[in-house]
Amino acid sequence: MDKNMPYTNNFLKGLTSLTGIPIKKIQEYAKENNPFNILEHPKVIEPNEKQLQKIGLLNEFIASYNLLKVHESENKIKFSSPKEAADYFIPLLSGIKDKEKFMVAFLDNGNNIIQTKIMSEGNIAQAVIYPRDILKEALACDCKAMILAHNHPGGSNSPSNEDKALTQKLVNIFHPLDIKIHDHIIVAGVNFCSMAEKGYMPQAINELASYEPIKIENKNILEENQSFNSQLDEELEL
Amino acid sequence: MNKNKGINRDNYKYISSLIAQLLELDIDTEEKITGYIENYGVDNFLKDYDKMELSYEIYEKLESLGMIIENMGGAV
Repeated sequence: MDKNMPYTNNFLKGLTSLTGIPIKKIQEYAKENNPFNILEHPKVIEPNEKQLQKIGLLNEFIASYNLLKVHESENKIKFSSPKEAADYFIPLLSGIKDKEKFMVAFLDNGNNIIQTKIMSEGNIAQAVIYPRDILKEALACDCKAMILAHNHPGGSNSPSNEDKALTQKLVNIFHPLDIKIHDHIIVAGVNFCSMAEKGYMPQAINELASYEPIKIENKNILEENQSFNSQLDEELEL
Repeated sequence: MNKNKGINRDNYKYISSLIAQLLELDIDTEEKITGYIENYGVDNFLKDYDKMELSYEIYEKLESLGMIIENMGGAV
């Protein structure tokens, strides 16, 4: 047989391990023939009933795997720009008016989404982010990059100083691990702000990583609440 | 998160049942694998099954499956 056939001994070993056909029998056949024939024409190797059934299952698996793999790659969500990231997060965050929600999209090398997780849900004015939880998810899915996103129920899409500080703290954790944080999208209604687009994304660490919980507050709403409360107090005193 | 619109749960259950029959897995392991594939896709499953807590014996069989797919032209 052609010595350049694209198979390795691993294929023969794999076939033995999964079908129970003795390796010697497969190697003997492969000396003069293309071993892929065993899958297409199993009878060439005179398998017993169980081995034949296993080859059938293996063929079914290979066909299903190839089909699903094509579907998966056609349907992968890939981020190539801040606008694409915003288009993804706006429907997930724009309708939420009663609480702050913080989400992370974990990405592979090609910036395809591996998974997206809600990492924190707070109240209307604040949310607490636990960096350890984000780290745990990032390592579990072996991501190479992340995009952060959260909503501002108050309506302003400008990143607050706390939003910038939060981003820096997460960069301090993930930069040394070679996990890039590409962007932090702030969603306010149907509007958004990309911190990357505005040039607010930290490029390097500015201090050692800290894993303490991080609170993000929507100051506008807190101030409005305080002013409303003090007005109410004054009216009640009268 | 799996956002694959053209693929439904039955497709994943089917491929998971094929793996279970081929590797002679128990029902708990089959369900575990189905859950993983539903979340991360079948392609990621064959790349990352070592992240799941599976027995060494199953791990070895999955390695064999990966080798065959790789040799059949699917990059795992």
